[in-house]
Amino acid sequence: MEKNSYEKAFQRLEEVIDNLENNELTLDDSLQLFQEGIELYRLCNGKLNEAEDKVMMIIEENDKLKEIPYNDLEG
Amino acid sequence: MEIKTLSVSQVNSYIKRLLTNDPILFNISIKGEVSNFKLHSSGHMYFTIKDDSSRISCIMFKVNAEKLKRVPSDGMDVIVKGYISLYERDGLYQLYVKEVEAVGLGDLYVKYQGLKTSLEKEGLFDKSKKKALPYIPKKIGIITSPTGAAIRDIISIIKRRFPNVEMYILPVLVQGENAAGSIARAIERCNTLKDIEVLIVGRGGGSIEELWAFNEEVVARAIYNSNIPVVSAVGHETDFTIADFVADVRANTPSAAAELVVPRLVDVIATLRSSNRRLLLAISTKLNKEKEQLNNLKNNYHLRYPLNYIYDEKQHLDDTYHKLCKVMAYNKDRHKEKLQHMVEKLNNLNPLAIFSRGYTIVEDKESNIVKSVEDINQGDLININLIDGRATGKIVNVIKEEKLFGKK
Repeated sequence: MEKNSYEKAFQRLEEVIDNLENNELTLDDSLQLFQEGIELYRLCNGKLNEAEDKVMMIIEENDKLKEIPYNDLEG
Repeated sequence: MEIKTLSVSQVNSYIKRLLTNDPILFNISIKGEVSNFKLHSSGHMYFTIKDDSSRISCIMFKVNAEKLKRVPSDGMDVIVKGYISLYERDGLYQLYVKEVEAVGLGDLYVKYQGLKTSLEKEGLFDKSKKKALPYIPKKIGIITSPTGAAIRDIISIIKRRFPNVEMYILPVLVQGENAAGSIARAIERCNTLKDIEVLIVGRGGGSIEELWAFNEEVVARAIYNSNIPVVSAVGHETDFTIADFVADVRANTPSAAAELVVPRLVDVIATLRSSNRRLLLAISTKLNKEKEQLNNLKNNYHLRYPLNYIYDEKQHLDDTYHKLCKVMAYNKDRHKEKLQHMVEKLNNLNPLAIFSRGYTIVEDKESNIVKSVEDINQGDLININLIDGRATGKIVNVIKEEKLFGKK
């Protein structure tokens, strides 16, 4: 499991942009960095969309953990 | 006998009159422990004083509250002075406090202080041990009561900020004897579950007794031992619970905890979009720069007029050639002059040149050059060579003298 992968990808994206903005790079290197940047952007964007929207409750039943959808028990 | 029916207001008013006219209740001093203390934004204070079996609601108005040297807090043993009256609207009797005097710390407070000191000494509160919260957690574990305002607030705030995130609620008891164990177990359990990257542990506000589970050692240790960062969210703004000290981040309220664990998705998206714009701008700037350089190259003199380079070179070559010729001519003249000089010198060394200075060469009959008087005798015929001819002569006399030069 890659931890905080969004954050890492985003940090790398910022690095890529900084490099592109500040460094005297060859055209080839620039294009390669740009390619990487675009991939990172897509990755980040994907991560934001892929996460699931769910609220579960974990309860113990016969010594086993069980996931059940959470409903407001008061509602 | 018929009883007269009264309105509720009439009864409450009557009771109030009874209470306020009572000589004891009118000016009373009560010893007890403060609990459920709340300072309202109006400046009035509301709390309860109690002993082991009983409690009385208290209110202290702003005018009196402002004079307090020390603001009461839950668990504090106090002597309160004031009068007892009825709050007619609710039919509640309460103590209208004029003075509060501290007599010592309550039992719970002493316990709390003791545990706090020992855990602090042990290093459970060390800043260096605090874990950073993830920026966007994959899954959020929420350890609290499954009912009540706290869980509803947490869920709704998290959903509002970051709609697609997974939340796992671990229902626990948040007050009572078994609460601490239940909370500690839930924290341990979360650490065995996959992808839970942050924990909220808490409950809504309450008295020190109600919050007590969060002051217990098992909970403190479970939080400390958790590999997942823990946000404590005990709804109690004034005092810290032990859990607050051990937690990686302390939130004042469950709602505040919810705000801490996820960023606002709209903000994240906006930042990402602006990064994307920067990326595109950076590459197009780069490309434009390269294009410009290419253009500059195209406008380069040598590329535009490639033959000029050759012409220039040719001109340079011509110049050099002329220089060469000039140098050559000069050298020739110099050599010529030198030669001339040499010829003259040579000429001076020509033996024939001596004729011009008036010398003659004398030869005998056999054309041998006469160098000494011993080569000739009286009567010999000799040839005398001059610069422009010859003459024949006869030796009349020979006189020997010392040699003029060149000793033998």
